[in-house]
Amino acid sequence: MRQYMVFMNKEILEFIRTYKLLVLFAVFMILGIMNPLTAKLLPYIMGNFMPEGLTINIADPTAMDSWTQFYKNVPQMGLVVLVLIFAGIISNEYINNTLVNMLTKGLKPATLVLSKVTVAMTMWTGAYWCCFLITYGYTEYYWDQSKGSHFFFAALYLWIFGIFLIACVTAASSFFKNFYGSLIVTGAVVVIMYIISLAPKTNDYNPLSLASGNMNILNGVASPGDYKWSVAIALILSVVFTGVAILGISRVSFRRWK
Amino acid sequence: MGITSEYLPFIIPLLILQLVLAITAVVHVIRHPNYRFGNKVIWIIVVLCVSIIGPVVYFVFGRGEE
Repeated sequence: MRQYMVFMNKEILEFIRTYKLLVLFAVFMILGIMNPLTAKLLPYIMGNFMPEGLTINIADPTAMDSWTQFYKNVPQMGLVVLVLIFAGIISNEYINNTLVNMLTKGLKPATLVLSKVTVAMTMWTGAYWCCFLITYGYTEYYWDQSKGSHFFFAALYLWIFGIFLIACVTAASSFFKNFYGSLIVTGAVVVIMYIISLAPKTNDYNPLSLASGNMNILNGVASPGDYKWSVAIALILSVVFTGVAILGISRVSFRRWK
Repeated sequence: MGITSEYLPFIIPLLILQLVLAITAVVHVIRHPNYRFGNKVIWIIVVLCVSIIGPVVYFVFGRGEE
């Protein structure tokens, strides 16, 4: 337990000193402001791109447009930045050769992985809900939100998908000595889930639904309970990936000592 | 004027955040002149001209080890 706390402290310091914490929060706060702004500006932009003589009626933006931007921007840009920032979460330790010292002095691979994952997930939680609250605040101020349903569940599901991605990138990162490897593997996992999602029957079980079905929940087309299997599978896979990361580190340290 | 003041509550915090990101990155580029690839001029241009993604890419890929 003491090792766990000490290592977590080291991780947090590292993220502050490499400016990654600042970048993560700044990007998510920018996204939080951009969502309602884009929703507000979209009719003007569309109007400017229309050829002359053609008039179409564009409805005034509503609260739902703001949330559509949120559930488009956060998966497209926010999650990409998240994966980029945590891509070197374990492989950086291989690159800098800092792992052997710690493991030979009795730090268990499991403690190491768990403390790293805890810190990464805490940072994601902070940045994501910060982004959510900013968008919520602006949307509440400018529009009437009474039509939407289950704001919390829709946001919670995207957060769970982020947790899943962090576990995935950690597992991939523990097998590579560079961080391009973990990016490629995480990208491949998302692509595979996307291909699976082309079969509509699998959508109830696919973790990817957690990042794509959010607007259905807000609009009342789907109820939060429809995604229970996706949530379960995403959480189970997160635990499995964390286990894989521990195996990855054990494998490397074993090979070094032999 | 009406439209400008309508968007000020968005634009001011947005500008501040982007400036914080860009300035932190530029200061870091200038004070730590060893990069994984590229040189000082390229990184200053990237960080200043590509908003949001520029500083992210610099801090993740560009910065060298101390």
